[in-house]
Amino acid sequence: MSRARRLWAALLAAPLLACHGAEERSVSAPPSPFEPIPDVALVTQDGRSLRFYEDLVRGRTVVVQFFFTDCQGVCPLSTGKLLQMQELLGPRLGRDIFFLSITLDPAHDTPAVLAEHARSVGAGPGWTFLTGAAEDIELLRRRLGVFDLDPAIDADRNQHAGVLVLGNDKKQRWTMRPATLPAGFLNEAVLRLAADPR
Amino acid sequence: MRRRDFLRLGMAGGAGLFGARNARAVGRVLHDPPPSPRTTPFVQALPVPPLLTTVDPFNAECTPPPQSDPTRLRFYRVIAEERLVRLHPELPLTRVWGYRDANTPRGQYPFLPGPTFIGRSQEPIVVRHVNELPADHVGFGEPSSTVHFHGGHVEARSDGFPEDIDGFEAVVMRPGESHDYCYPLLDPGFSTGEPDVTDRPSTLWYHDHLLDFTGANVYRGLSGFFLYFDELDTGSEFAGLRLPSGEFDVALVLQDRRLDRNGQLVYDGLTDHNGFLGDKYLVNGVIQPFLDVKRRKYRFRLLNGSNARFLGISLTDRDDRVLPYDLIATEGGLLAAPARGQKLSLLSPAQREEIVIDFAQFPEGARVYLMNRLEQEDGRGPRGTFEDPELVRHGTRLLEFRVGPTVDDPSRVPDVLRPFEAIAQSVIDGARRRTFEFERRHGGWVINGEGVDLDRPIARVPRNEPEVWKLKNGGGGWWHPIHIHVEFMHVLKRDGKRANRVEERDGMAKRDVITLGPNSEVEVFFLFRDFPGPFVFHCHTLEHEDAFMMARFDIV
Repeated sequence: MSRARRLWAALLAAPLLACHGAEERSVSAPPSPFEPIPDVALVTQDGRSLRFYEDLVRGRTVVVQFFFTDCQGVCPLSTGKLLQMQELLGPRLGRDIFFLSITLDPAHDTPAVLAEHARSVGAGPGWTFLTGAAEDIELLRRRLGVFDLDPAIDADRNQHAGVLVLGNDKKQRWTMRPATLPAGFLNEAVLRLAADPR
Repeated sequence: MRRRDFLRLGMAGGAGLFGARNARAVGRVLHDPPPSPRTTPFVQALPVPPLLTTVDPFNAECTPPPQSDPTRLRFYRVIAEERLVRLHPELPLTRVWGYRDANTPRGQYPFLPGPTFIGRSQEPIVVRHVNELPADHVGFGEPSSTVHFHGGHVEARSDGFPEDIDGFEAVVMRPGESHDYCYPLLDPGFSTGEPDVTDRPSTLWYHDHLLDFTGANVYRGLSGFFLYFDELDTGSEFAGLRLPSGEFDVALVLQDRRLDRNGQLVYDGLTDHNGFLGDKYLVNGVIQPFLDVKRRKYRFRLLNGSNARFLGISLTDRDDRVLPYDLIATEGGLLAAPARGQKLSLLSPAQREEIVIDFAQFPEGARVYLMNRLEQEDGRGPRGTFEDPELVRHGTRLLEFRVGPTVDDPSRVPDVLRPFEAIAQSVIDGARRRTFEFERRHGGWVINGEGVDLDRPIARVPRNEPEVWKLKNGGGGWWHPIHIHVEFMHVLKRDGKRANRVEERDGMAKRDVITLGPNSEVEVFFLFRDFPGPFVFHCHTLEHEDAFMMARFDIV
């Protein structure tokens, strides 16, 4: 979401706050799930600048993973599942189905670091690694439902949610699955979501 | 408008507006979706969905058990479709998903709830569910489906297992596909020659149960009633218990919904991890209707069909005074005896309670109401605890009863309904014990630390062997209504003590959904009989269920 749109959204929300007494919001202008996916600027492992919605999501089925390269917790598990799904999907990955791995640690995970990580895990075409401004990634994460309801846990990157977000933009349908599921199960969910009704 | 009306409109007008008052708001995501359009209450009559009609016999994919009487087998065909319905005369038509009798032509079924099944004990049913949901659907809801017969005692392939898994018959209906469901309506224990005639349901319901999308699909409208009769609960006021029957036996599904300014359904399952609440109250698919009643007894079957909202229903008068009624059943069937003089039905999502109201106590022209007296701002749960919920005096009126003339009333509410034995202590002592803890972890909901994995049973449960399950709320302030398929549970203990509430007292009532309030722990008794195979249990706050608070268990 552009700054202008965010400001506008905050202004619209302000009268509601004024009516019942302003509450300090810990996240500035938290994204509404009833508005479109935020179109934040991100940078790929190849250094290309893209917009999240317009360039990476529009018209596609995506599997979104939030991770960081130093993560010891749930990331290796979810990355492992994506690798298995990459195998199962074959040429469909990069055609109408795309994997988006977005770092929660943009300070450390520069494009060069992401590129090395992608190479070392064996990520192929159709699987993009992304970094960007911390606050934009934060907005994206919350908009896609990847957060903990307990703000203390949510603030700790090492306890981040072990989920994969699946979305089909044409169908405007989003859901999430735990990364602990068998890869076959996850893959079936992606295929059903991507299914062409014809 | 009086102050009370402003308050009521405000409470109905948007959960987000009250966010700041809630000291428990730590960690809540502030959605502030806009409130639904205003509508005038009590301007339309309560709809009563029609009874399902039979079709000619067909070659079914399922086979009723050998103990079923094939001469009494009835066939039905039900279509899941997208249709337009009028939720309120002041709103445009709303696009919903719902079930329809195949004998009714498309376009001629104007209700949100599906048609009502009437089942009779020992009379088997086969229903072919056909998925005519739009394959090119855009928006929330997944047009594949399975159908769960909630409260039913049926085989695994007919129970609405949420997904296709290896080593098990395919159950998911993609658009254009169908699946046959066999409901033998036999008593649990029939397969070992020990049918328990005291273990019969009364008000069941059927609804979508697709993995990950149950919340969205049920919210779109995929649900309907199933009423179960036998030689005690006959459906006639002149036989058996002679409970109020026919037009005086009314099923009411209570649901909350949120609408946009065009009257279309609004839903968020992706980010509303707590559970999605609506701000409009529907009864049988229309917003705040009225019902003309005569001055005699009526039986009302209350179903909380909401995704996440808890309801505390009272009968109230014009001045919001609370009036008593008789409680005669939970979702576990008729009680052993009526609980007279009840003043509150505390219903989690999916729970049912049946009450008898005698309108003869009111003069003709009186208006009385079913009112929700719980306040709930997010999917966590209502204010207060399960043991001591906070009840408001001026809650939201869901349904207005308009008392009409006196008529004869041959119905009865006898002092004995369907007695059954409490589980003997020696049986409890010898039972296998399991513990399941329900909590939040890793951005989702887990049972014993794991999110849903339908490939792996969390427990393998031998048939006909007593089980005591301890169900624990793992904390965090959420309420979790837990539903276990296949069998009713006897509630043994709540928080270490014999259950207080009459609708949880073993020997008096059974349940198929048990509410775990914050920090609650309950012990329940099961005997799993007759049907081997994979089944599930799960939280029935549908956004929790969809975010992995479900487990497979195998009866072996």
